[in-house]
Amino acid sequence: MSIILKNVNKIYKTGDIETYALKNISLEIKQGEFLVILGPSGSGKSTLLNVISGLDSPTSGEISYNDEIISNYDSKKLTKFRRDNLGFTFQQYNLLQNLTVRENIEIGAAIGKNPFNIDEIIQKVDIESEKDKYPYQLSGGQQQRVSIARSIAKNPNILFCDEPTGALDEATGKQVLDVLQKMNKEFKTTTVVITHNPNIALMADRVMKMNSGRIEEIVRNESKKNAFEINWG
Amino acid sequence: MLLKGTLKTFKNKIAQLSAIGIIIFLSSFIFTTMFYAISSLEGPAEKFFIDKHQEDFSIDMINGLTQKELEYAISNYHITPGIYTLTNIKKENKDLFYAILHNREKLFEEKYKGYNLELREYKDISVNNSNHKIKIIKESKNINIPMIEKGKKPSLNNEIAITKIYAKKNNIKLNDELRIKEKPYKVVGYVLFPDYNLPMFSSTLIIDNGMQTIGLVTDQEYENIKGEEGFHFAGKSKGKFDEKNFEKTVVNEIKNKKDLDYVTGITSTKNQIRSGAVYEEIKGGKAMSLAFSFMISSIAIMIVAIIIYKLIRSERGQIGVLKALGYSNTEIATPYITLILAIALPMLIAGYAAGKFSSVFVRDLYLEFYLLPSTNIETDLMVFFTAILIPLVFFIGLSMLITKKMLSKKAVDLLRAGDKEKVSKLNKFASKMMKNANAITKFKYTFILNDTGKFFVFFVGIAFVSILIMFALMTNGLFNRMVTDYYNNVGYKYEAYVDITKPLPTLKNGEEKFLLYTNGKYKDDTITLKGIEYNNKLHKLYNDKKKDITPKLKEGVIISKSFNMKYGTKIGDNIKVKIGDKEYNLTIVGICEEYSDYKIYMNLNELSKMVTDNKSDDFFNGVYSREGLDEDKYLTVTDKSDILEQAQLMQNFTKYSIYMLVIVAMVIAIIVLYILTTITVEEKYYDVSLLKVMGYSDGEVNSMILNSYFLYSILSFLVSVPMAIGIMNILEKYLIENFNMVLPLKFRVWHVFAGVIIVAVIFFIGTLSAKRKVNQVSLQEILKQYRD
Repeated sequence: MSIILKNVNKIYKTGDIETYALKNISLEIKQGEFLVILGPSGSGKSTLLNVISGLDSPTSGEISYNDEIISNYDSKKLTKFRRDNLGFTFQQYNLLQNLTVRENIEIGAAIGKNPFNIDEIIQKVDIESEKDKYPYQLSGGQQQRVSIARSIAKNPNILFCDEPTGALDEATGKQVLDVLQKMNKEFKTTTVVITHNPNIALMADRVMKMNSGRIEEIVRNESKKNAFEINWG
Repeated sequence: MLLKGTLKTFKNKIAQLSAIGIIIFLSSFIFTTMFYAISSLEGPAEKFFIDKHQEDFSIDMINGLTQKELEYAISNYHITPGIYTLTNIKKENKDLFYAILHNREKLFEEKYKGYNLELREYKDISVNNSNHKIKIIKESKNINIPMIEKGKKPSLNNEIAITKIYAKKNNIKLNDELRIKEKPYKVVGYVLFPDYNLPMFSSTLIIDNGMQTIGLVTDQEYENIKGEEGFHFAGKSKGKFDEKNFEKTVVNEIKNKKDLDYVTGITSTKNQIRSGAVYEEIKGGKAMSLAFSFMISSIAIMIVAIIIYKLIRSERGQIGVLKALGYSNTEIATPYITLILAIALPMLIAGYAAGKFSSVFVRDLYLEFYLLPSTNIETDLMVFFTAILIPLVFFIGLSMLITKKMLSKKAVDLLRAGDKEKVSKLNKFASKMMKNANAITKFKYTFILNDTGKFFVFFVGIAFVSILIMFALMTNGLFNRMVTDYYNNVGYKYEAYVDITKPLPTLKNGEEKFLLYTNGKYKDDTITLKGIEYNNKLHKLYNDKKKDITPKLKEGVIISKSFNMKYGTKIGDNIKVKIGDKEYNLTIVGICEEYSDYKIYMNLNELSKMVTDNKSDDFFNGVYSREGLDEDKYLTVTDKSDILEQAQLMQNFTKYSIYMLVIVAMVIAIIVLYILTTITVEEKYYDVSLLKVMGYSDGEVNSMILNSYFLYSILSFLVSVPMAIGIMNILEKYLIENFNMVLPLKFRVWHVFAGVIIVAVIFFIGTLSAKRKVNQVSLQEILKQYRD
């Protein structure tokens, strides 16, 4: 599933003051692509993720998925769209605390049209021995892997990751990135990762740099590295 | 400064804190109302009972002559052998009557030297041209002395004193005229009797003081006035009355040795409904109001503790900063405690003030039923302290304890990102129980169990409320079962008692005879035997399936449901009943749905033979009719519609009490659910947002977050059902054992369905706000979490 953004703007109003969070963004993300969006705090990368994923609506412009324009969908339609097509991973793992690892992944799979086999996913993210544990019994890295497994379990067309390694140290951060890379490779899931860590960009097919709500540059990565090859910075 | 910050936090929780304020108010209000109302009766009542020598016990006796008494009467007063009741002996020969009664008194006092007896004589009369009743009690000299509340004691034969409440309800003022049996009487005073503080004139539980009164006339007028007369002895201990000793040395001895054969029953004052119910009302009222307000306070205290815990937990980062800056624990805790104090204290004081105000109405409500003197409601420091200080100490104490525990952590620990939320044992257990359920179902029904404290408050709160609801439902129709059903089932409209000093009347077409014998004995208790014809048309007997079982009287006896409940006797049992000196073996062939008396129905011919010692199988002392009966021909004539009218008033009273109870219970449950579900949504804010981001619809998220409350509300309700039935059984047993009274509270399966519907309504209203909150949680919340 490819994503096309045409002249997308997002303006926040405070009284008479208008602030452009996104300015004239046009972008195409191809099916199966691993895109990293880089930028400092306040550059608009999270706002971009919100509007691309239908969590927020753009002030103007058009967002379409395989020719299906979603930017004018109402909230019900957007919910259905997210349910059928998108997966999310955030900096905070947001696991449901009263459910085991397996059950957390099941929650993600339960709403998928064509979900993956849960045991297969558990194996892929390498948390087999933890599957009956509760979140409080896991390390941060393990929790983030469960979070990724949960978002991937429903077999989404696109996976959005907002600072997925933001709360992790280098070793566990790399493990998590490795999982994301594997998922992208094996399941051909379009993956959009937002980060402020420029080293992660080395894993991407393309890198998009943002500043002050604009696209600064989009660079194709000719020599992709795997997660364990990158420096953490 | 810190106070300002905390105040801001509290402002965000204003709706929840206001709701908790209502519960705090209710706890203080209920306690104050009930305690002041009861105390305003208790003090004056105790003084009245002491000053006017309230009886310590009463002795019921056979309304006939024992063999010895008959022999004495024949030899000394030359009466012809036959059946005599005390009533007709008094009419025919007053000297003989008093000689017999004096002898009975002497026999007792000689045997039990520590006690005095005094004869109590009274007549039940209809007030002219109305369905009102008056019980004229002859003035006693030593025991149960009447008290004139206002006005004076009657000194002339055309003067009468009645109860103040009857006068008030019928707009009768002092010096007004009251006609009784066509004779005009001048109302000269308002009277109270210490042994009739609950006007129970018959076995039917009708205590409407607007339709019946106690009256006092001169002794001479008492003898002149025509009415159904009754007698018993009032007894008093010469020293301090020791109830246990009395039971052992007098009651049991008379029962076991069959001594004093005229005695049919001895009842101590506190076990006598007409005089003892008030003691239980005071004791029970105090216990109930204390338990009720304690329960409500406990719920409020636990919820406040939960709110404080959650508040401090959510602000631990800020608290960590304050600690790092050098603020002491006391400085940080003070604003929280001050604000709890600021919410609890005014609500407790408001509850106290409103309670004191409304206690006047509750006292007056008590005085609608109890014939007691009352005084103004004075401020009582004990009530003030109990209603305000005790709950306040708990509110502050528990809040301080929680705050202290939370603040005992080091600044660095508080500053560290959120504690990991552990999974409770209860959650794990429930999860195991739902081994085969899917993850959504597991999430739905286990996350609520993770916060054991909150779940406990919720579960107990709903169970408490459910017990109240079940109890209210089981009370529903109480008066129908006790009074109305009986009268609605019988075909007669009028019931008359024959004056047996005169020849038996000739019955007209459509009239039917019956024989009532109230001095039967079963297991040392006095019971009533009623003879009716097995093929009669005016007094059919029905079982619990509404089937006419009257023809079964050919085969044996039919007992009333209250008889069955008291003695546990069943169909097929053989019971030994004493009539006079003779004992009869009777076989129970049916149980009729009648709760008003411990009654055995027999075929009229059989009972007639037993009562007349085989001399007649056609004796009767009462007549049923569909048409009006001539009052001159009979001693008394009762129109059943009068009784039904009185019963209706009592029914309305219970009906409104039930509505009130259900409404109060529902309000408490709605508040508990509102607070706990909104807290839950606030806690699960990010989970809600996450689920929405994942693609779960608002409806699905609502169901995942709130439906478990519904399931557990129903579960809590179902747990409370056997508890309510258990309490009901204990209460029934207690009333039978202590007051010889059957209170037919009934559990029906539909009560459970009705209860479930009420709980569903409570859930729907109580979770409305939480549902709105769930819908309002924005998708971006999940992203804000780590940026906040």
